[in-house]
Amino acid sequence: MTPDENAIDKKDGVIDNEKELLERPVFSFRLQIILGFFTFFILSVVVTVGALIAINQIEKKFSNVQTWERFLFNIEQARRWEKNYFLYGRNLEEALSTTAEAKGLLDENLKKFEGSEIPVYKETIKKNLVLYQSNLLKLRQLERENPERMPPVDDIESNLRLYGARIVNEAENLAASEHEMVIRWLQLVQKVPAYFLVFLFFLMIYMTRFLSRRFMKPLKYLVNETRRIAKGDFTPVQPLRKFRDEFTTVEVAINRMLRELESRQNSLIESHKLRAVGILTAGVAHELNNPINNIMLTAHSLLDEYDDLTKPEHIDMIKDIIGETDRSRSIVHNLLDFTRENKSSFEPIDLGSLVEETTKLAKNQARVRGVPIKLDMQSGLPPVMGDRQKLKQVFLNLVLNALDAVDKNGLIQVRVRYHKLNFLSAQVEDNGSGIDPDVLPHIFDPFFTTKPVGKGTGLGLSVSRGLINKHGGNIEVESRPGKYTVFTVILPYYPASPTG
Amino acid sequence: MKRPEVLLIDDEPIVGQRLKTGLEKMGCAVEVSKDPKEAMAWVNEKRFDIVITDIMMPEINGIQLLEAVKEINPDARVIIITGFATSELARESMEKGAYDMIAKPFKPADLRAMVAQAANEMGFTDVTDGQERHDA
Amino acid sequence: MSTVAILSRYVNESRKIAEQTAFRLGYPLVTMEDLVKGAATDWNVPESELSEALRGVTLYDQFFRKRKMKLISMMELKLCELMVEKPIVFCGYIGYPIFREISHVLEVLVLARPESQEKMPETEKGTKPFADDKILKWLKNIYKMELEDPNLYDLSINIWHMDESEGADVIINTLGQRRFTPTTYSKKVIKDLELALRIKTKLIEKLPDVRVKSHDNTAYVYSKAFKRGRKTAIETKHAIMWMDGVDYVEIYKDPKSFQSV
Ligand SMILES: Nc1ncnc2c1ncn2[C@@H]1O[C@H](COP(=O)(O)OP(=O)(O)O)[C@@H](O)[C@H]1O
Ligand SMILES: [Mg+2]
Repeated sequence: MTPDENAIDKKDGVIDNEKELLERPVFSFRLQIILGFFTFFILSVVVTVGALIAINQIEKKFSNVQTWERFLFNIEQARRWEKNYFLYGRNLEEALSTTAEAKGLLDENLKKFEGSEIPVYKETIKKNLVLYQSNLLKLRQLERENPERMPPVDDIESNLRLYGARIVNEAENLAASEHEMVIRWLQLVQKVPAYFLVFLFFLMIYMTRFLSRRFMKPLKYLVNETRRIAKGDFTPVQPLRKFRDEFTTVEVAINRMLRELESRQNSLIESHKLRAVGILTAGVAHELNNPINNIMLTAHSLLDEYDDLTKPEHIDMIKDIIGETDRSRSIVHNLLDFTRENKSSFEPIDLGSLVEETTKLAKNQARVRGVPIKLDMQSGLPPVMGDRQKLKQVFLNLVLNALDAVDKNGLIQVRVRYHKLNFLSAQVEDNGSGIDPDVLPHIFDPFFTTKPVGKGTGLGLSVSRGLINKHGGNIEVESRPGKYTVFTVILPYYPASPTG
Repeated sequence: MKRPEVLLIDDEPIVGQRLKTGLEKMGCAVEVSKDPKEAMAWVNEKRFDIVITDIMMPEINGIQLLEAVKEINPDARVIIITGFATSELARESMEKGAYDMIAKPFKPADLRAMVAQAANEMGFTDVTDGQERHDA
Repeated sequence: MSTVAILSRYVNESRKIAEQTAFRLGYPLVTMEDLVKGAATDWNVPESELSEALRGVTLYDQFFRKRKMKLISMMELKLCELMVEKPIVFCGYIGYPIFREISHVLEVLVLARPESQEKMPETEKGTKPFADDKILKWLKNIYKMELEDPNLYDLSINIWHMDESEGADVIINTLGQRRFTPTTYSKKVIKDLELALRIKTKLIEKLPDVRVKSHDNTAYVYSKAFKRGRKTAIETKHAIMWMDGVDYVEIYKDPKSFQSV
């Protein structure tokens, strides 16, 4: 697959992601806030209605209690009249009328009491009242039948006493329990607002925490994501939630921006590579002059001196021509190997010879500047898995940076050796300007450069670090201003023994 | 018959190998070196009339050699041969006393003509470039 | 031996210096009129058309820019041919890109103006030096160069403070410096430039952005148009491969790699 197709694929991926994001169900913060307040409102309504109902209940119970008290008052009045009758023989009519009054009261309110919490006594109270009344009526009848002389009415009297006491007792009980009910309701009405307040308090705490979490979490996430992006990692932002909210729009926008950034960066990386290629081709074109000159001189010598030369000399010269042609080809090949657009493919690579080939690419630059490049390769190293071209690009960057940093007395040393564990290290050391401690933390940042416009792009190191990280390795730097700079590329070798 | 002393320096050994015989046939005494350090030592020991040098060489470059030669023998003719020819290099070499400059790749005959002319100017009248040559 | 190129917008003053210098060196003086005449006979075009191409930048000639560039290229070629033949003193404002490449051309800028705010004294004849400012515009348009940027020259002299013979003295003294001595290499460069210009003159009407280099009879040609398809490239190759002095033709569609040849 060519890099172009790759790019298209990636783009599609992002678009899919975008579509997928936008297709999620909407649950926006507006909606969430509205829902929150609506819950509050409903709760308040429930509590208010509850309170109204309770007050209504209390009112009812209160009138019940009043009714019972009036009833009781009537009964007691009746019993006083009844007593008077037995003591003084009068007031029977009054007793009867108050009883009737009580009975009316009871009949009138019995309906109301129906379904009330204390039903049992009502029937008995009614029964007792009826019995009481009938005894009183019996008494009046006896009095009418025998106007002068009353027969003994002891049994009636005791009956009256019994039923009267019962009625009073029951009515008192009823009044008391109704009273109790009122008190209970009152207590309830007193407690509910307190409970409601406590409940409201916790609800508010919960709502605040919930909402702020809903806001803060994605915000924090986005802050972290932007940090990651700033480091040059352009993988799209994956939202935290399954549904769509205002942050989804932000995420979609960020992902779009990322796509834009990535394509810009890719073209910058390409231009950075082209710049290196420009530097190199200029050098290589000149470097080719040497073998071509050798071929030219040898061919002319053969032509001019053919007859004076012996056969072995002829052969030597022809071999020279072949050798120099080979040399020209390998110079061009080495450069083409770097410039060619090939798909990224990982293969086992001998790090030592790759680094050596790369330094050859920069050799002309070094020679023009009069800077020797010393190689020190440990032999018998295991291969690393990697992409030739990308790794060459990294080492070329490091060597070109070193060349930029040194002056006339410059020396560049390149070493490849075992690191520790399963790693190899390739170091590029120069005795140039070094890197200021203030600057050191920034040198891997994209676009950071201390070089004049047109000379530095500030992409070399950031691109290199990205490429090496993709190889499972790392680039480290150590420097003393005015003394030296060492860049160490650490790469895992292959096959790595199965650890961790 | 006086023969001009010629020194030829190029870190590419083939250059020396191929040019030596031709120059000798012209009537020059030719020393060849592919190591500029060695050549520098020779320059300090011996007067050369004509020095032919490459520019881009390890450790010591052609300009440094040119300066050393001119210091010891201001009359010496120094011919620069280089694969990295630029107008700036030409000016710098000439300013420092070079006799001529030619860019690689060149034909042996071109260099021989330059050497012959330099030798003649210096009074080595026997030196000629008049070899019979096949046409390339 | 070495060529002198005098560039200036003070037409009369620079001309006088050039005459003096040429006379004393014994070199022929080449002026813009000479180039016009030479190119007119070489290419059989009317002189008036050639002089027109050297004048200011009007909307009209922007419209015929391709033709204009071809005419300029003809005159540059003439200049180059003259330089191949023998050392000259050139006075004018054409050919800057050629001079840059050649180590044995002394590039001189002639100014004629008071330094700082000196009072403007009348010259002996009572006239101020005449400055042809159209030249500035023309150079910017054709070569994208600032005529009076002293960094572009080996020498700049201000005629306000000296007469022609003093000016010529300075030029001749500077020319005496060894660095301007011609070399086999620099002579070869002129020949290469001459061939490149011959090719350019041939191609420029069809490929207005064409750039040409040549080394040892190999021609290197760049144009954006080659990107569009092989046809233009092949046609171009055919157009020049039979020209005198061309052995091989290389076509470039990428300016960076063209630059590195
Ligand atoms: N070998 C080195 N010695 C000193 N400074 C260096 C070296 N390598 C890199 N730097 C510093 O790191 C910066 C960033 O390098 P890089 O990312 O390659 O961009 P560029 O080379 O385009 O400036 C350089 O501008 C330079 O200041
Ligand atoms: Mg860099």
